[in-house]
Amino acid sequence: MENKDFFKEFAIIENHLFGLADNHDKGQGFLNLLKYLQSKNLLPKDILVDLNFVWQTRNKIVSSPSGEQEISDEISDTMGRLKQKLGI
Amino acid sequence: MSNPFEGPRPEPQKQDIEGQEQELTPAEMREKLRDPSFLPSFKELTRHLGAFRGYSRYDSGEWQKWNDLVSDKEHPIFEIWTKEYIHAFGSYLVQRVEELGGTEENPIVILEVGAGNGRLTHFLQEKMNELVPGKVRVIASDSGEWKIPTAFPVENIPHDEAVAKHKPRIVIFSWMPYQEDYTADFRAEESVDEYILIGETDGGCCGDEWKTWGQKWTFDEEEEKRRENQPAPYEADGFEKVYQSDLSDLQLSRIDIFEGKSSTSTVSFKKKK
Repeated sequence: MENKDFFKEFAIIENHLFGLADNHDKGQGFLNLLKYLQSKNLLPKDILVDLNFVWQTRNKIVSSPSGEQEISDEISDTMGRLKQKLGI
Repeated sequence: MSNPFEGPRPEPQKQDIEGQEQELTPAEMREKLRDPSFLPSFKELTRHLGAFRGYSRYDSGEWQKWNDLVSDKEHPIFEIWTKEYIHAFGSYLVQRVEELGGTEENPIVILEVGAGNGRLTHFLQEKMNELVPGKVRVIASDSGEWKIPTAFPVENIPHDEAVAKHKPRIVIFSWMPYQEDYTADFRAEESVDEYILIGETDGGCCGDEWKTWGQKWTFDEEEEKRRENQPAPYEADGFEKVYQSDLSDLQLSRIDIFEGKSSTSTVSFKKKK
């Protein structure tokens, strides 16, 4: 998967999660969003492992000088699974 | 050994005859941004980046061109400095320099670590010279690990050695590497009254979510429980975290390009009195 495709898929998942938290300040970052969603029982426990994998992949790409972080073959399946579990 | 204090001194940016900046096309703006001495305006850059929002952005040729600009392996751009941000950040530092008692005889030392090509320090020193001449010495340092060519003077030295050598009152680090933490070394140096981190906070792509930011929520439930029962490392060392939202509102970074949203901030950690 290319970076561009990763960002495109990630944006769909992230926007969906932000959409679940209408009253949450979006400026507080992704982990605080997840904390908020969990406190409202809006974050299924069985997606945390996949979400962590995707979030770490995103951070590695964004923080890499050349943005050339190798994207694991598993990421496409993981993102597909996440979208399915989130009903996207 | 390379001399980090020898770097090219780029020409000042061009302006039109009225002294106003010309409105640039996206291609012209990208070209200008390759010039280390060029400082764009926040407003104009926002206009360019705002032109391709939404999911369709990834299919436009523009996304790839902006991506190529900030992901240049030799000259990566993380935070995109603008005139407005440098002015606002400089003004904040002036206030701190006055509070800390900086004088021409005894200037306050501000140390930037992980300074890369040295642009931030260069622009801040210029701003300090304009606002409080002689009262501040801003020093750029970088370990050189990423082999980023310098555009302005940068001392080639690891962060911990730089802090021990220069005994700064204020330390600045923009985009601390992901899952690494250097802040414990800042807090351990007695001279340091404040350190300022620029980038994604609280468990994003900069620093370590716990050691750097004290983020208690984590994907691991057991780890979260452990964190809940103790103070964040910066709190344990007698520092408080202050979000500088007025500065964050003026920030643009590579994330604005990658993901179409602003998510970087400026956060200061001040030693409690």
